[in-house]
Amino acid sequence: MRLKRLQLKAVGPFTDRTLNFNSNVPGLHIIYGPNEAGKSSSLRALKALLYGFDHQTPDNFLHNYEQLLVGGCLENSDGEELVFWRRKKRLGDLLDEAGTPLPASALTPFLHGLEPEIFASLFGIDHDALVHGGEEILAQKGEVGQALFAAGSGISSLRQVIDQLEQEAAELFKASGQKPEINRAITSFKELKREFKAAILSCKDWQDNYDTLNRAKKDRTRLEEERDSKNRELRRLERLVQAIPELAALSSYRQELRALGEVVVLPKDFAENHRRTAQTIREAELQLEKDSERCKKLEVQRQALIFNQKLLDCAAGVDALHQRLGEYKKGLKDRPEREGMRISLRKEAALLLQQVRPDLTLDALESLGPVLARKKSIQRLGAGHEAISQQLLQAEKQFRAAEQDYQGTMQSLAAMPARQNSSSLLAAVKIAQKEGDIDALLDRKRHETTEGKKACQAELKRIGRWTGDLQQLMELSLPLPETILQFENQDGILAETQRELDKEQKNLVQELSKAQIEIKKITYAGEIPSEKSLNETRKKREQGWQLLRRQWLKQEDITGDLLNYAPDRPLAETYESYVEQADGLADRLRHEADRVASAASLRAQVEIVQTRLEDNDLRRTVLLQKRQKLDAAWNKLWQPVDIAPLSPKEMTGWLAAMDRLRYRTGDLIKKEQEIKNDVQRRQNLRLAVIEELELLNVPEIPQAEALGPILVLAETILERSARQQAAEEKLTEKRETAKNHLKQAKEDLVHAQEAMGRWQDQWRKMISGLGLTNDITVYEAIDLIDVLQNCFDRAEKAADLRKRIDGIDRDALNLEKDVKALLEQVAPDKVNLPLDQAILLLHTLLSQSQKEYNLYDSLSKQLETLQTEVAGTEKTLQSARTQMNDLLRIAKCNKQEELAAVMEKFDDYRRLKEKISDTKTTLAKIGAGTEIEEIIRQAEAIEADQLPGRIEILQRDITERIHPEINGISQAIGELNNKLATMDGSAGAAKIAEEMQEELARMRRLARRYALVKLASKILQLEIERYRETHQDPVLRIGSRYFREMTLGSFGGLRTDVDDKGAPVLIGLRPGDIRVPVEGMSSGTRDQLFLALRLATLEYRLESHEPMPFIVDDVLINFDDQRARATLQALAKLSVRNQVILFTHHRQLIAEVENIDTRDAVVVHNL
Amino acid sequence: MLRFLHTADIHLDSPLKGLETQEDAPVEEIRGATRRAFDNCIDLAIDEAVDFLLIVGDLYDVDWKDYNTGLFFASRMGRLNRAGIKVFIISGNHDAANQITRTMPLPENVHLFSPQTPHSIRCETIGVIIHGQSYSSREVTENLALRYPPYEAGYFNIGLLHTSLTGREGHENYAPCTLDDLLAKGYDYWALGHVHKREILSEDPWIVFPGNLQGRHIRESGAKGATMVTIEDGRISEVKAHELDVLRWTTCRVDLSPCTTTGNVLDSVQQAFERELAKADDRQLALRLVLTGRCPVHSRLLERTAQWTEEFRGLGAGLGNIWLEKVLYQTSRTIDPEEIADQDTALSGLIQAIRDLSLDSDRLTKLVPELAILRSKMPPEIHDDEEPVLAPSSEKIADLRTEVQDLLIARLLQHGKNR
Repeated sequence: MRLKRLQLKAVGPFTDRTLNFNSNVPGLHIIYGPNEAGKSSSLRALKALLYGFDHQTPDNFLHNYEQLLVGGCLENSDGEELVFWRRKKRLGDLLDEAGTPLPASALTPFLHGLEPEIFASLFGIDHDALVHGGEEILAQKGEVGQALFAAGSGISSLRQVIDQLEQEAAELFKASGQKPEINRAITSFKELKREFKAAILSCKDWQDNYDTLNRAKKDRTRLEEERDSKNRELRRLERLVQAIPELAALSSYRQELRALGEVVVLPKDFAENHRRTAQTIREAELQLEKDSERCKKLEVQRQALIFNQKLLDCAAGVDALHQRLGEYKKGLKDRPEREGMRISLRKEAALLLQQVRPDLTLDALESLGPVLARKKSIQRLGAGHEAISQQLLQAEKQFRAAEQDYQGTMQSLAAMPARQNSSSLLAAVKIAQKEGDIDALLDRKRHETTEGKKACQAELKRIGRWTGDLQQLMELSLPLPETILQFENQDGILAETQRELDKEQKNLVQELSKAQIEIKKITYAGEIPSEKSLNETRKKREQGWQLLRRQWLKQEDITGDLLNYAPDRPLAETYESYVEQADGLADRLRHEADRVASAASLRAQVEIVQTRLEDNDLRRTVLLQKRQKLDAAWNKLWQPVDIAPLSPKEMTGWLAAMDRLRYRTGDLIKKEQEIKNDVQRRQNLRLAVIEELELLNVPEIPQAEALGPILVLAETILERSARQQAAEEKLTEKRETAKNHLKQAKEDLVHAQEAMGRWQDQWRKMISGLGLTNDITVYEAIDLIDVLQNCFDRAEKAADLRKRIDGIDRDALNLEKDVKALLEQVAPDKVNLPLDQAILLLHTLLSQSQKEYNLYDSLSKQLETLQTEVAGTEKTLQSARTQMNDLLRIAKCNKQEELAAVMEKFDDYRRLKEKISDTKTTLAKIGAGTEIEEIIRQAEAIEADQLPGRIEILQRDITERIHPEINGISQAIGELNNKLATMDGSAGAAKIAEEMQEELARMRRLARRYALVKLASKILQLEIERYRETHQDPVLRIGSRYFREMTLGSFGGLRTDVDDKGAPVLIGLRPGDIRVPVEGMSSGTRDQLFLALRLATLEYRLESHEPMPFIVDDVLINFDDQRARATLQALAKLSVRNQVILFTHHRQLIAEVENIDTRDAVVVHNL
Repeated sequence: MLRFLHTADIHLDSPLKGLETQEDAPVEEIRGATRRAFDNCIDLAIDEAVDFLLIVGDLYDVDWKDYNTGLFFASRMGRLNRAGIKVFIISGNHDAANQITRTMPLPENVHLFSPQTPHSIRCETIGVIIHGQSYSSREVTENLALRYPPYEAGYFNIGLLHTSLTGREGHENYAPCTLDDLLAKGYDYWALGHVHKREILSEDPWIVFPGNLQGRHIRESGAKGATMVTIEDGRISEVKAHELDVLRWTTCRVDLSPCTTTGNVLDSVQQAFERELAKADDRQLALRLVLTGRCPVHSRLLERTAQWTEEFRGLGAGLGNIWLEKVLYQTSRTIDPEEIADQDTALSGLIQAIRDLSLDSDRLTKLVPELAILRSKMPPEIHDDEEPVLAPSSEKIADLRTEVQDLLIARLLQHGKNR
C-alpha cells in the first residue's frame, strides 16, 4: 500500500491543504516544516486518516471537533485506489468522495487489518524509539535475538517487558522467600491452621467435662448431708452441758416455795397504792392549816383602802378636757396674726381692680368669675391668630403666581405651526422594511443564478456525449438507473459466460492437442493393434473359412463371392494370411495390452474433447446472439436520447452525473422564477411609498428602480414629523399642569379666608363679658385678664382668713362651759378656779383615785383564789381516807400496823416464783424447742462428765475432715463450670475457618497470576530465540548492507559471534576484519545499527508481503551531516520499492537531498 | 390453620469459599453467614409462631469437628423450645458421619429420626403425622423412600427425605428414588433436602427442595432460604419461599463493547453493580464480575488487571454492600489476533507461537519449572477447589493461552507506544 495524497481539509493549523505523494515510484517524501508549521499536526492527521481521530486531540484549536476533516487516497499493489474522508465521530467517521459513509472494513484491503498500535510500531519510527533501540542493543550487549526481535516488531524495549514480567513474578512468589505475596499467604495460612486446631472444641472434651461436673455435684450433696447430721448431734450435747446446772437450781427454788406455807396474795400494785395513799393524807392535812392563816391576813389589808368613785366614773371627760386645753392656748396665740394678713390682702385686691376696672367695687368682683374661668381657652385662641393670618397671606401669593404661569403656556401653544398626518406613510415604509434589503438580495440571487448556469453548462460539456442547452436537458427523457443496472447485470453475466467459454475452449484445445501428442507418441512406436482391426481380420478369416467349407466340403461354386473376398490371390493363401494376421493381432493385443489400452483411452479422450469443443462452439454462437440482442436493446434504450451509449457500467456513472446536473439546473430555474417574483414585489412596495409621499406633497421624489433611496427619503420625512409631534405634546401637557395648579391655588385662598372669619367670630364670643372695648389687641386682652385674675385670687384668700378667726373664738367659749359643768359634779368646792388651773387639778385628783382602786381589786382576786384551793384540799383528804380503808380490807387487816408483816411475806413468795420462771426460760432457750421434760430425761440418761470429750470428737470430725472435702469439691465444680462456660457455642473456630478460605482464595488468584506471568515471560523468550533462528541470516545480510552504507564504509558489515556464555551476539566488522562489539561503538553508530536492522526487516518483509508506508519522524537529528546524507540515501533507495514518509524540521536535511544519488525518488513537501 | 417451616442443608459454620478480604474491609459482614442465616430462620419461626420446624438433613459439614457449632445449634433449639415450637430433624449424608450429631444433647421439643428404620411421629393435637429416616452412614445408596410407612388416614402426612432423587448436578447421588416412588406414598407433603437449589417438583402433592439457607460459594448463587407451608382444613393453602440469606452470591456480566474510555468502563460496571444490588434488595453481595465484549479498552484492561480489580473492588466497597469474589477479564481485541497472525512480523510470529503451543499440565511445568516448586509449597487445601490452580483442565488451558497472548500483546504494544 502507498499513500497517494493527504488532504488536510480542516485540522490543526491547516485549512484545505493538500500533500500529493503522487511520484512515479513509491518514493521518499520529506515533509518539512519549521517549528509551529504543523509538522506534528500533519503526522497526527496522517494517523487519523488511517485509524480515526483520537478521542481527544490538540488539533481543534482552529476547527472544532465537528469540523475536523482529513482526506486521502490510498493505492494497493493491485493498483486499486481508495479515495476517502475521515471526520471525528464515533461511528460513521469514514466517508467516500461524495460524502456517503463507508463501512470501517473499506480500509481492510489496504491496511490488512493492522491495529493502530501495531501499525505504529511496525511501520513507524521516531527519534526516541531509535535512541532507545540503540540503548537496548547496548544493554543486551548485542544479544542477537532481542536486537532482531526488537527491530522486527518495532518494539525497542523488550528487555523491560521481560524484566517487568519477571519482577512481577518475583513479587508474587520465590522458592525461598518470605516477602512475596504467595509466600506470605502460605505462611499466614499455616498460622491460621494452627489457630484453628487450637480453637476447635472436641466432642470428647465437652462430654468429659460435663460428666465430671455431674459426678462432683453428687459427691458434694452427700458430704453436705453428713455434715448436717453431725452438727445436729453436736448441738444436742452442747445443750445438755448448759442445761444441767439450771436443772439443779430449779429444784432448790421449788423447795423454798413450799416452806413459805399460806400467803395472802396481794394485787400487783398493792404496796405502791398503800404508800401513795398514806402520803396523800399527810400532805393534805398540812396544806389546809397553811391556807386558813393566809385568808385572814388578806381580809385585814383590803378593808384598809378608800377612793373617789365619782371622779373615776368621769375619767374619760377629764382626759378630753386636758387635751382641749392645748388647742385653746394655741388659738389665743394665732388670732392677731391672721387678722393682720386678712386686711393687707383686701387692700392689694382693691388696688389692682382700680387699675383695670375702676368702675367696679371689690365686692362686685364676683361677677367676673365665669369669664375668668375661660382664661385658658382665650389664651389658646389668641395663640392661633398668628398662624391663620400667615396662611392667608401665603395663599394669596401662590394664587397670583399660578395665574401668571397659565397665561404664559397658553400663549406658547397658540404660537405652534400646523402639523401634517404621516401615519399612512409610516405604514407603507414599515411594509417595505419588512422585506429586508431586497435590493442586495436580488443582486446576489441574480449573480448566483448566472454563475450557476455557467457552471451547469460547463458541467454538461464535461459530462459529454449529449449536446443541447439546459432547457432541453430538463426535458430530456433518460432511462431509469434500475434499467441500466439490469443491463449491467446482463452484460456482466454475458461477459462472465464469455470468459468461462473462452477459458473452457482454451483448456479444451490444450487438452486436445495434449491427447493428440500422446497418441502420436504411442503411434510412433508402431501401429497399435486394435480390437476393431482384430475383429475385422477375424471376420475376414471367418468369411474365408466359410468359403473354403462351401468349396471343399459342399463342392459349391464360389467364384462370385471369391471375387469379392480375394480377387487376386488364391483363397487358401488369403485365408492363411488372415489366420496369421488374426493370430498376430490377437498376440499383440495381448502383449501390448497397456499400449493398446492407453491408445484407446486417449482416442476416447480426443473424441470427448472434440464433442465438448463442438458444444462450446455452439454455446458461443448462442452467446453471440444474446450479446447482439442485448446490444440492440441497449442502443434502442438510448435512441430517445440520441446518443451512442458506452457500456452500462460507464453509462451508470454518466446517468448519475446527468441526474445531479439536472437537479442543479432545476434549482437554477426555480431560483430565476423567484427573482422575477422579487422584482415585482419590490416595484409594488416602491409605488406604495411614492404614492404616500406625493400625498404629503414632497418635492423631488427619486425615480430609480431601487427601493432603497425612496425609503431613505420617507424615513427622513417621518422622523421630522415625529419630532414636531413630540414638542406639541410636551406643551399641551404643560398647559394642563398649569391649569391644575391655578385651580388648586384658588381653592387654598378661599379656605384661608374662611378660616380667618371663623377665628374672629370665636374671639368676639370669648371676650364678651369682660367689658373690654373692641379695638383692643389680642395681646392686650390677655394681659388684662391676667391682672383681673390676680385681683380675684387675693379677695378670695382674705375671705378665707376671716372664717378661721371666727372658729378660734367659738372653741374658747365651749371649753369654759364644759369645765364648769364637770367641777360642779366632782368637786363643787373648786368651781371658781381659773380655767387652766381647774383642768390641771382635775387631772391630779383622777390619777390618785385610780391607783387606790387598782390595789383593792388585786387583793380581792387573791382572796378568792385561796378560798377555792382550800375547798379542793378538803375534798382530796376525804378521798384518801376512803382508799386507805379499802386497802386494809384487801389485806385482811383491821389496823394499819398489821399491814407491814402481810406485805413482807407476799414479797418473798413473789421473788421465788420469778426465779423458777427465769430458770424455765433459760432451759427453754437452751433446749431450742425441746420440751423441759425431754431435756430432764436426756440429762438423766447421760453421764455429765463424758460430755466435753464427745463434743470435741464431733467438732474435730466436722472441721478437719468434712469441711475441707466440701471446699475442695466446690472449687472443682467452679472450675468445671468456668470451663463449660467457655464452651459456649462461640464462632471462633468458624471464623478462623473463614479466614483460611479467604487466604486460600487469595493464594489461588496469586498462583494463577504467577503461572500466567511466568508463562508469558517464558514464551516471549522462546519466541525471541525462534525469531532469531529464522530471521538471523537473511535480515543480517540486508542489515549489513544498510549498516555499511550508513556508516559510510566505516563498518564493512554485521556478523554474529558468541559471547562468553555461548549466546549469539551482534558485532560490527571494520575493514580489515576487525571485530567491534556493540559496547565498542559510539551511541550514534548504535542508533544506526538499530535503524539498519529496522530497514533490513522491512526490506526482507517486502519479499513476501505488500509494502506499507514507513513513517519516519525526525530520526536523523543526531547524525552528522555525512551519515545523515548516507541514511537519507538508504531511505531513498528503500523508497523505490516501499514508500517512506519522513517528517523533519531540519532545513539542513533538505539541502542534503540535492546531493544524494537517487534524487528522483525524493519529493520535498514544504508545510 | 396450621403452619410449618421447611428447611434443609444448613451446613452450620461451613466457611464461605472464594472470597478474599482486603485490609480495612468490614469482614464482620461476611463472617458467620451460615449462623446468621440460621438465626434468621429461627426468628422467622418464632415471629410467625409456626407450629413446627422441619430440618431435612445436613446440619453440619461432614468434616466439621468444632463442638461449639453443636452448642450453638442446641441453644437455638432451646429458643424454639421456649417458644413452644417443635422441631423434626433427619440427618443427611454430612451429619451421619459427624460426631456432633450423635453426642449433642437436645431439648425435648426436638425429635431426631432414627437411622435404623423409617418411622412416624404423630402430633395428635394438630392432626399431623411425620414420617422420616436419618442417614446411617455417609453414603446411602439404597432407595430409602420405598420402605417409608404407608399413608395414614385422618392425618396430614409429611415425609422427610434427604435425597438427590434421580440425580442432580453437583450433588452426590444418595438415597436415589424417582418422583413416582414419592407420589406412590400418597403423602400430603414431601419435605426434601440435599439439593442446594430450591425446586418445586410437584404441586399435587407438594414435593419441595427448599434449597440451602445460605450460599457458600459462587456455584450457590441466587436467593436462599426456607419454605413456609400453610395448611387450612387439612389442605395446603400456601407454599411460600422466604429469603433468609445474609450474603448473596451472584455473577454479574458486563458487556464493555460500547466503552471507548476507561471512564465508560467504570460507569458501566457501577451501573451493573447498582442493578445487582437492587435485585438483591440491598443485601450484602458476593459478586463475580465477568467483563466481555470486543472493545477498544481491551488492552488497557489487560495491561493492569490487578489495578483494575482494585478499582472495581473500590467501586463495590463504595456502594457499601458488594464483595468482589473475582473479576474475569473475558473481553477481546476489536481486531482478531488471528488477523495479525497472518502477517510475517515478529509480533505475528509470537501470536502464532502462542497459538501453536501445546500446553498441558506437564508441559506447563516443563516450561515453567518454578510451578512445581510452588505446587509443593502450597498447602494441600488449595486443591479442594473445583478449579485446580496449577493443573488446569483443557478449557482452562485455552483460557490461559488467550490470557498469555493478550498480556504479551498489551505489554509489548504499551512499551512500543511509550517509547
